[in-house]
Amino acid sequence: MFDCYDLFDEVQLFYVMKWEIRLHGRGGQGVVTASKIIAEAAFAEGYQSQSIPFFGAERRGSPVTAFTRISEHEIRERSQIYHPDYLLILDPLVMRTVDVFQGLKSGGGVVISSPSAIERDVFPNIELTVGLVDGVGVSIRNDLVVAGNPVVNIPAIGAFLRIFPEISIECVEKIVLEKFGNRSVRALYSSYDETEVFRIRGSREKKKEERKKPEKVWIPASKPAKGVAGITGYWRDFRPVIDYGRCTGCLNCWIHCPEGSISRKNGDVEIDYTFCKGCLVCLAVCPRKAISSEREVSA
Amino acid sequence: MRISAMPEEEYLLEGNSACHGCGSSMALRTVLKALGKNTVLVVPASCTSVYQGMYPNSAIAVPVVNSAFACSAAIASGLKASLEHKGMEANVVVWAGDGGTYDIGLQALSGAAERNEDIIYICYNNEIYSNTGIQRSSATPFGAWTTTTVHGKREHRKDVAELMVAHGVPYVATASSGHLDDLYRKIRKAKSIEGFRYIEILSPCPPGWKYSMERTVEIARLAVETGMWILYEYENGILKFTGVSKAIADGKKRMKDVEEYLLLQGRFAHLNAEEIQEIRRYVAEKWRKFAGMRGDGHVVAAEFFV
Repeated sequence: MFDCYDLFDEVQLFYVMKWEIRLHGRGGQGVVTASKIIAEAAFAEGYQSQSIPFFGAERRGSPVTAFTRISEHEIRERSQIYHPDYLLILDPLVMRTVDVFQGLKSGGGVVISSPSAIERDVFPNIELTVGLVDGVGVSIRNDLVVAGNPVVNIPAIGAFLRIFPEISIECVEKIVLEKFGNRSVRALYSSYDETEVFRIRGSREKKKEERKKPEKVWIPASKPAKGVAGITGYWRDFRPVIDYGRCTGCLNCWIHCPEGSISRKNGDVEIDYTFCKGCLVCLAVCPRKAISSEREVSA
Repeated sequence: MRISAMPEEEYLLEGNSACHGCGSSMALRTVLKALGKNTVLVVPASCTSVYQGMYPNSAIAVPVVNSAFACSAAIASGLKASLEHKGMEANVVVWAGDGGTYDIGLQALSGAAERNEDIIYICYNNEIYSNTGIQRSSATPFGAWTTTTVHGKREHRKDVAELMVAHGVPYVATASSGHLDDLYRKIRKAKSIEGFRYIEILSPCPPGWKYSMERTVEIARLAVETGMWILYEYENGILKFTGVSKAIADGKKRMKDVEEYLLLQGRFAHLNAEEIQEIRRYVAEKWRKFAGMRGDGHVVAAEFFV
């Protein structure tokens, strides 16, 4: 009789190299594009490749995921990636809201775009190769700020190439030049050079999740609450700061804030940084130019 | 309208998932401030139905009924009837995008307008289907890039506010996210009128229109200053220009060239001189038409008749 396990053993004999890459970031940073560029570059290097965006109602600023598969052999899978070999984290703040390391294989690689060093207890307790680069810094220095958002995908790819030797930087250069021009190529090379590569074994302890008993309700109606999309202050790349010496209390910022993050108490306006997304509309509408912006660096 | 006179209460709570610099959440905040607590919102599928959050939480602090695309005006009519039957007073307000108004929801809207249902219908018009990833709608202007019109849309947009004027409803107004004081005043006025009221708000969309997120207010104001968007209200059969549009119509302010508005947006970046000229022609034609409809007894400045 035909035994499917025999077939399974046979497949195991022809072991082919396959890499699975998962990308995390926020809408507007170019996560899906990065996934596509890596897949295209791998294909140009002679591999089979595949790029899948996570499907959902994603908005600019909210957490976004994309997947790339690279293989020496034809790829038949069409699923999301649950056990990646490599992780690209385009924004360190995503780590606070999403369990980015979920399913990461031991001996895998992680690229993190962050302006500051990442603590050891952030990483899971497995052997990892980490490529660390200040992607937003590279992006700003190379004038890659699109519509107010620093695009971090090209710097992240530059860092990824340092820990993933199967794709040459020249190959990626060609694709990036054709699609995005010279500035992006410069960003690619400067992040490739600036990336700090090190090996680490993390010390993160697994948190036990407490399951709440669902409340019994007769009619399932939603109740008003702040933060339905989480702490949206993590979406911020630039922080608006009020100079109270110049503020006249005209309330233009208060009424125009799309988020409602500016409160007015006794005529004084105050920004709630927990939820302010950093769109800087307040800065644009201030008639006295009493609001300035600072780059957000708290990771 | 002084800004400080607007109520401090927030009915659109912070921490929702709207994009940075969202023109529609800016407008919704002001609208809910003007309507007050005693309001029921009917929201069809749209960006708002996503950024309001998921069960068990809601970012909107008034009752919201999420409706199917095609029937928001019909659901609002039913809600109002049942509230009346129970002897309850509340503003029943539809808050729909241009997809839910111009395209899929049009028949229900037209029906409710014809029956003169006692509801307020607000369309926040971002000129695209932004929630599903920037596809063309029938509110998309000529020449604009969307994912389904990659070389620019070849047709001019339709105008549902004008269509509502043609329905002869008690109150029609247009507003913009760049003139929130004007919007606040119009919502307050609509609240005081009985019967079907239609208000359309131009609300710029940073990812869809491809501009830098802090420029939402600037772009919305430029739309009015260049004549691409006309602020007016129609009441008791009389059409009146308001705000900057009134100043332009009275000849007190010069209309800016459309190029100032178009060049700021990535969606118009590919336009050539001919296409820009076509938009100029369209704006002049639109103004001629509205000037002819003007019913407040003023003479229209002659400069649009070029």
